[in-house]
Amino acid sequence: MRTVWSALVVIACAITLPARAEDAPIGFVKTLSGPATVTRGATAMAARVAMPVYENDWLQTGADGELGVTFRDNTRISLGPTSRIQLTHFVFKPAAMEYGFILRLAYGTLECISGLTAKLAPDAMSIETPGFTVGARGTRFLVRAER
Amino acid sequence: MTMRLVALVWLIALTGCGLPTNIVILIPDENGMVGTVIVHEGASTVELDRPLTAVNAGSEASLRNVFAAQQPEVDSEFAGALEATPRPPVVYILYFQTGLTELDTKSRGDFAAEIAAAKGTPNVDISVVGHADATGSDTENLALSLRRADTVRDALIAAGVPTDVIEVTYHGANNPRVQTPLGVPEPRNRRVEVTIR
Repeated sequence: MRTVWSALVVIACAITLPARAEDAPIGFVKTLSGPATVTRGATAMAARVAMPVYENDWLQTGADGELGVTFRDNTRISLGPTSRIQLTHFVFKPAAMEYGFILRLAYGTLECISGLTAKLAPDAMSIETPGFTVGARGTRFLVRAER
Repeated sequence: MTMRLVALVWLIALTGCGLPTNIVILIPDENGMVGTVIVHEGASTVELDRPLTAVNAGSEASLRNVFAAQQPEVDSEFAGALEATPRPPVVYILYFQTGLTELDTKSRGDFAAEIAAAKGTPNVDISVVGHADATGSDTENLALSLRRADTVRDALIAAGVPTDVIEVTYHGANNPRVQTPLGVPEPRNRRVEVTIR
């Protein structure tokens, strides 16, 4: 009986946790200052250092917030204040030679230092904004998009 | 008249009326290297490939406006993003003896350094990627590359690195550092690449 209850608790936790266990994180929050959130589906969470991030997550900084993420392909991004970005698409499978990396900057300031995706597949990484798109061949660049 | 216009443009540039609201700027990376970015808007495209070149991305027409951004303006208008840059990932490559999960003698020191770096890095996450050279069958090489990666992962865990920040993958002989014909032993391909982020 106890086993059944434990199993049920495990299942319940698996359902309520916003992190999807079947997907590996695509990166981790490495730097943080001021207010920032990570939104997964309908759940907004206060960002914290070492927090894993997943494909489709939205990252947002407040008026004096800053946030930096390092991805599994060694790409690094950082957001300045009042910025919003979606980790729209991330595929990094070097063994299968499959790569894809799309970030969607809704508004704000972004620094990007590209990693292995841009190096191994020069057309696989882009940053989309409402008005323009940046093809990131590498390596370090800044983007600001109007709100 | 033309001179006056030039003077006016210079005055605006010098007094720093600020960078355009929609902008892309290419800057040197931490090693001083400069890459390439391509900015698309509508049917127009512009390529930036020199340090501190910038483009006004406010409209398709403004893409023609490629200019040299001034460092002080870049530093001040992107101060937040530039302050939050994560530290650079560090890659260690550990080499192994033929067919074995035993480290090459020369790699033992690197292994110790890598473990110390993993332990000493706050909020670390680590990739451990196993490889084999082109001797042996594909099945054997996949298994061997996984065993090599597991050996490194186990040592990291034994040293106190949390299991959930280590990601293990393995490629067999499919991603050599040095291309060789099938069946040729190559010490530089018998390796585990450890990335400490």
